Amino acid sequence: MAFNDSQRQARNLNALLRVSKALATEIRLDDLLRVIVEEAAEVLDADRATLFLYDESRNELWSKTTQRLEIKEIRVQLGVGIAGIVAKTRTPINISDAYADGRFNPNFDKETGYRTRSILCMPLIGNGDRLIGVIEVLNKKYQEVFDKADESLLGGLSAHITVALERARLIQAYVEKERMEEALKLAHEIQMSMVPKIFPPFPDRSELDIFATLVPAKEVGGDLYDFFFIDDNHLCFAVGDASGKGVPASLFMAVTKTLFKAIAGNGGSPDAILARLNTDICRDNESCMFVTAFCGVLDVRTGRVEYSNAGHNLPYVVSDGILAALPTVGGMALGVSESARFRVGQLRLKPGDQLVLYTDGVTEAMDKNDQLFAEGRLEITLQAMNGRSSKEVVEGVVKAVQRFSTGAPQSDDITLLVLGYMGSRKNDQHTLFVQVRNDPSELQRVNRTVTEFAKKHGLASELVYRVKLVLEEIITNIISYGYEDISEHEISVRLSWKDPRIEIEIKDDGRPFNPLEAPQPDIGKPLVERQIGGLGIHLVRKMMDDLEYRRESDRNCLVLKTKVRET
Amino acid sequence: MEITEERRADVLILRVIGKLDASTSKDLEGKILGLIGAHQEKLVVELSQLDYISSAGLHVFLLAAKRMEEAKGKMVLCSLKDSVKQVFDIAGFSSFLNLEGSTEEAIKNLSR
Repeated sequence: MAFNDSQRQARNLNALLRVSKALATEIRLDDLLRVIVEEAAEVLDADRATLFLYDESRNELWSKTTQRLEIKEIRVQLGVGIAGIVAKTRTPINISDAYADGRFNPNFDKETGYRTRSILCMPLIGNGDRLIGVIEVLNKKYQEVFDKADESLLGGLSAHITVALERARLIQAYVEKERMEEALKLAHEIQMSMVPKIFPPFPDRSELDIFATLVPAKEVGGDLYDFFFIDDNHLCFAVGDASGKGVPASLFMAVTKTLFKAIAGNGGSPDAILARLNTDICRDNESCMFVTAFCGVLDVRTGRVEYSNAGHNLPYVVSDGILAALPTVGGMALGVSESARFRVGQLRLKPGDQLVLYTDGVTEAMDKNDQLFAEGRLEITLQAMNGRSSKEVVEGVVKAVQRFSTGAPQSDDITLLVLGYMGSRKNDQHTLFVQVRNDPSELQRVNRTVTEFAKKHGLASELVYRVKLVLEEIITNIISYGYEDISEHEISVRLSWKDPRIEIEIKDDGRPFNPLEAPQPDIGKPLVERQIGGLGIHLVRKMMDDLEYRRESDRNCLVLKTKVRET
Repeated sequence: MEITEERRADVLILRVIGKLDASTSKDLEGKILGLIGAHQEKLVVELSQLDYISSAGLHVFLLAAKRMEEAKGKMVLCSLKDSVKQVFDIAGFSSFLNLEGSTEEAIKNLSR
């Protein structure tokens, strides 16, 4: 079926409108490409249409969408074949017999078994004279060739296609950027969720002053740090830097940290820990990632440190204001070779000494002239911070690095861990445990035990008086009113004495009773109105400085605190 | 705990030695209430050798003071150690019990 000219013009106009509408609504590039090809073929009465996009980086045309054939990617060099020449010269080509034209490349026909006859091919030129691609329609239906009207129709269509493609590309770039930001956010979250962030981490360990920080780069660098007690006396600590950036680095870091904790948690020397960690990381390490790490174990009783290294920057030790890098022990990064060997080094920290662990994000931070912060500046900064707490040192170094690199982007994670050794715990806390049956005669035993404890540790007599009185009042109360049956019950008493403070904890499995809620006797009343009772709790409140009550599952737990009073 | 008695004319002096706690207070309570029941109207409780008192001991003195008042008699406590006095003070007992520094002052107080 053929059309007359006016019919054809009307039809073409409608087609253009329809296509431009379709192009305006389609924002996903893949869908847009399909719509363009379908509509171009339809509007131009062509047997088939192909859209080639220009790949600037390779100076090639490529096409993914071909009609009525399975989707595959075709790549065409600029200047080769009809499409390549149109792209290069940016001039349309309209030929009636492809095989009579020397510029035609028949390879695709050979591959697909298709027979190309007529071709109309036009360049798509976008904003700023930028080549977007070319559109090609093949084999005009009902007539031999594409005529002038077809040329102007495809010309009109091309303008719409160009706009739609440019818009889709902008949107896609935006979406990709958003996705990238999302991924980076996720990487940050993974990384930061893996490291301990509560300081001080061991509030009751007077031997230690630990502080650490990890300032992630925009593109996560895979840094990590960790510290934990292996047993009562041994603190394991480490810093590391996983290879790679972004989500993969953060995941690798997370895996490494998890393995590390599992391995180190079993104890053992640092070289053995690193060796085991290396074996685990090498296994199934298809992505060939690696991680540098420094690992140490501190005996908090003596200050003795054993350490081992896997390709990481060696920490500094600051002792009496003198700064020195730890002696090298070799060792290659984890994940590189299963046969890697690790050696152990030793040192002894004196009370007041600090170990400064860091990652290369510190020393390789750059200023806007691409100068490195370097070891030299780190050493000067640490010298200047001599005698400061771990927290002050960490924050001081981070501040110095950030001041240095003002105006330059942070390219890598910055991690610092400062471990201050404060000396072994002074054995100045003494604890007494007494188990008491719910029998009034037990009070004498409690009394005797407390007397001995007080004598041994030199408690002031006024304090001993108050402690004994409080114990008598509370235990008598429990025995007299606490139980609904006549069975035997246990009351446990703990005294913790650390001059000048004492803490008394009393636990019983009697009925819930909160002495803090007991009514207070009116001690101002005249004799005739005074009630007998309620005095004991009143005395306890007055004899102690602080009372806490809680119900622990089925037990009353009362904690009383006071300290030596001036007499 | 130990209790000794000394009589000076119509005054009976009780000396309480040791500790007045939950286990010993009943003995003192029995002793004093017995004396009041036997119409002893002037009583001095001498506490210079009392090392310890808890609320159980305080109860004894509260009860004794009430009974003595009902019986129109008088009870005076004397020579309290600081640690014991402190407990009396905290409980608000110092305000309604007759407390004196020595046995002599206690006896003088009784004849007022």
